[in-house]
Amino acid sequence: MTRFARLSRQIVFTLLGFLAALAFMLPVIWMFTSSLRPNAEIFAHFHPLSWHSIWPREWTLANISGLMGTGFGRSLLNSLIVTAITTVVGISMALLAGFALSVLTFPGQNLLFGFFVIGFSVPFDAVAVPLSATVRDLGLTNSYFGLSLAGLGNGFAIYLLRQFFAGIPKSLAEAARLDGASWLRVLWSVYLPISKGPVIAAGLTLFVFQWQAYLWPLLISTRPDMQVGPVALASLVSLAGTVDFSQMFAGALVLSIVPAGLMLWLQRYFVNSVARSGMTG
Amino acid sequence: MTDTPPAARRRARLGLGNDWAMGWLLCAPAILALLVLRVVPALIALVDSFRQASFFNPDEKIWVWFDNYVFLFTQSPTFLQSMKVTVTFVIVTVAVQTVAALLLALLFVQRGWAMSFWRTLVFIPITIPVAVSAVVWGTAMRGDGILNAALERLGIAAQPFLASPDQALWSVVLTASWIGVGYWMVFLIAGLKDIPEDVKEAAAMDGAGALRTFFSITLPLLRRPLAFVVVANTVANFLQFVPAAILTQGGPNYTTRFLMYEIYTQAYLQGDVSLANAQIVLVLIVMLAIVALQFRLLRSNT
Amino acid sequence: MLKRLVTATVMTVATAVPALAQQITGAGDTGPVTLHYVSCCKATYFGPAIEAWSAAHPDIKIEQEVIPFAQLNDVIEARMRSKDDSFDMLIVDPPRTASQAARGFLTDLGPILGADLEKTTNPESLKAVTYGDKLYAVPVFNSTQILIYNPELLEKAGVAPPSIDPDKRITWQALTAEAKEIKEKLSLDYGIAFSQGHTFYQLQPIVMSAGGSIGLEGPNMLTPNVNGAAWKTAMAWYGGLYADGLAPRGVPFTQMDSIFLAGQTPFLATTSDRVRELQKQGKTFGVAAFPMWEGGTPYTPCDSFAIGVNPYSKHQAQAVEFLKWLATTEEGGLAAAAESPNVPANLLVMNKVSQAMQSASPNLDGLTELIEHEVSTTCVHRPASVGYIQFETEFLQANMDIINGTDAAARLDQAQSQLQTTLSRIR
Repeated sequence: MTRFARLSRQIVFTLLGFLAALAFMLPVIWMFTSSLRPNAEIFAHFHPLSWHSIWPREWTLANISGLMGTGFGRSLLNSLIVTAITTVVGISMALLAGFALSVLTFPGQNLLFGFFVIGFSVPFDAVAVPLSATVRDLGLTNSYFGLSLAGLGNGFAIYLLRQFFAGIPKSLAEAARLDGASWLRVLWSVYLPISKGPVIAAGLTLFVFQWQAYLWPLLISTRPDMQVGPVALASLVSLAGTVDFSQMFAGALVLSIVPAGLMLWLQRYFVNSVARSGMTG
Repeated sequence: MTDTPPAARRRARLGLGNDWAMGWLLCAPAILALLVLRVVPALIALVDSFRQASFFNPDEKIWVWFDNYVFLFTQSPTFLQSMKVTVTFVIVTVAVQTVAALLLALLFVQRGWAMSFWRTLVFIPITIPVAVSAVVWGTAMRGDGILNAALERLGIAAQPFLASPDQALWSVVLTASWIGVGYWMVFLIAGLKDIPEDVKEAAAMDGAGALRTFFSITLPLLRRPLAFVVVANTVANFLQFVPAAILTQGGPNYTTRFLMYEIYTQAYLQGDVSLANAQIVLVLIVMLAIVALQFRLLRSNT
Repeated sequence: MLKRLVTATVMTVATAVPALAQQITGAGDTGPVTLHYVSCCKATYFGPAIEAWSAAHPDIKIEQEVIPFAQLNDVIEARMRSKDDSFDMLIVDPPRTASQAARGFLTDLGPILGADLEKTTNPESLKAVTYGDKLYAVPVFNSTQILIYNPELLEKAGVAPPSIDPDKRITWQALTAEAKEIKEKLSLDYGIAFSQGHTFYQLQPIVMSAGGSIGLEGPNMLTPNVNGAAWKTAMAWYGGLYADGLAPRGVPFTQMDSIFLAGQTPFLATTSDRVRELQKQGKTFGVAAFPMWEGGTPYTPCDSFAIGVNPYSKHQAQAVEFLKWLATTEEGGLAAAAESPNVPANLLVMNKVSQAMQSASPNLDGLTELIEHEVSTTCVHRPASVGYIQFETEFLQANMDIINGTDAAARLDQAQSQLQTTLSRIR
């Protein structure tokens, strides 16, 4: 291929890549700019389409600061707490199981691995209704622990870590064991330090799933002060009819910025882990 | 994926072998979670689906055996409709997403400037909570919304979108596809990168055109990641709940009454938990079948 | 089936609700108490009453928790099923009384408050929260509907305003013709708007005025009847308003007031409390009686929020004290009506509130009499059935579909069979 042909190919692909990104980002950009303009302006510029439908005449942070004064700030805090619990507990669980299933040898481990991946791959929502009755009977409604249950078991996280650990030469573990290290010690000081990528990838998956949870919080948190962000956003919409768009967009923006920011920052770990997991052949 | 017997024997000789107590101990938290968060509630649903709770006193239940199931398939005005809606939605969404994800994956493995940045932007929607996406798309698709404004600019008449029985489901498909495409694209990119360079070069040497290379070399080699994406995506979309709960309440004319919304409505609006549990059992059977298929796909390629 | 139903009802009510007179919780407590109240919709509905009470009673504080109406049912359902004792009072939407009382979600207040309430509360309002001869809530608000018009638009189009005299009320048929004429003459966006046009609350009196049934019938009120000829005629007429562009389709019902305020429609069918809202906005408007079907009987909707006591509350005595003040004193009644000029259920203040609205505008003579007449004569309650919540859910969906252009007759047939199977599961 000539240099010129190669260059023009690159230009075309770059252009296509840019257009694809733009198409997917348009709703996000619209949400972003709408949350930073006065309410009256949002409604006025829905229709007809003009440059100002998407670009504010007047920029303001009032929507976001106004929102934080309402119960929404509390809901956001709840979301952060619940998601932190899920991510930490969920990743610990997945680490222990993934490590045991790949480094140790014990009867039933393959069966167990199958149960984990199949069982946890059945979406949590499928059992949310019967589980909510049990959780209520246990008095766990309106508790952070109860809320965090939705995302705890994640088949993808266990699979990812198990596959990664299986790819680490056993000689490392064997050497440490011969030096008298306990299994937990081996996991902590031999495996964990070289597993940054898959741990981050598994953690991101847990985070994003729990942050999105909607049905479960709807079922088990009945008090406004224990509401999580996505549910608070939905009730903001039905509460206001459709009148206060500025609050709605501001809420949408705040709820998106946390996971999207994390993903922008850490996405290469996710992409690399998927590539190395053997999941795609 | 499984340890080969010689390796196990060698490790046993080294004194590291059969550590079953430790193995089960380390797995104990995950086993507990699996029991509490999946197995037990599924069994509760199963037992409950054979009973009918009194509307007046939910603690008072009588055994009706298969009556709830018979009711679902012969009498329930909404169950079969919600099945139809869900299956249609899943088939169309998975097809749209897979094709779009494949095209995008093919694009983003090419050389160009800032390609990984553009790829990341396509990926962003999956991180946005579904509730947010639903609310934002719902606002855009209002009668006087920005989407109609854009259509009118293009000389196309305004569309009712979510308000019309003919368009509501497709509007949800559009929203769901926007959310998921970037995520599945990542798996297909990984699959494309796994295709050995020499295979592609050999095809190029044979003088095969781009299209022929794609259909005769790339696509067959991409069979497994594609199968994974199709199956995992089916699982992901089968229990769609948020768009119906936030945007359409299952309407108009029940055209967006997704299964999970039907179950929620039965349990919390109609107060008919037994019927909801029978539906949950059916959903679990379908999910388990699909997930088992997914697991076979994962196992057979390492 | 019926026998089982009755036994089940009697059994549950007997077991779930202790005879309050003897077993009321919190009686004799003297220390300071904070009552938690699960409320709805807007903080201002009950805010002023709670403030006035708290100022005079430092020992019994009240905290209200406001839940959006769309989620009210689900939230109460979930909290009552878990026998939640973290709140003491809950807002009651009167048509849901039967369903909630039958399942033990509400305390029988008859023995302790019945005699007092009979003296000061509108008997129709009491009827709406009574189920099986037991009183399950304290009515705070009542409501009625009126027709509001824009006098400037009517005059410009040369149309005489409809009458405020309930005996000379306009018919829907005449009103529709006038609305059409005005819309065309002045090239307005719309001819008429319904501020709660998606709800059974606003549609029920129209359907019944056309000769339709109440919707749920039979000895146990679980037999649906929503596809008779009158239902089909009335709902087809209603859907037609939207199909013809006379009523605003695709606009959220919360925005109907704004459409009237903006002069986009000459007529607005709405609740009487909107009078105060319009006065606040400084808008010139006229009031007429709620229309009736040509050749039919006049009906108007009624009832509004009441407050019930949680059977699991630990402070029932204190809650009862507050409710008694609210319902049987003039002070309580006025405080309740301060920000929320819905028709008070408290008869001591009902006409005072109407008169205050009437005298705030020059042209509202007859408003007090109209409201008094409607709430006592034409008021029609929604069906007092344990299946009302299911019924309302189905009606809402069918009605939205009809508004959006689905054939009314076919949709009502579907709703009828839907309701038959759904309600057959109640046992």
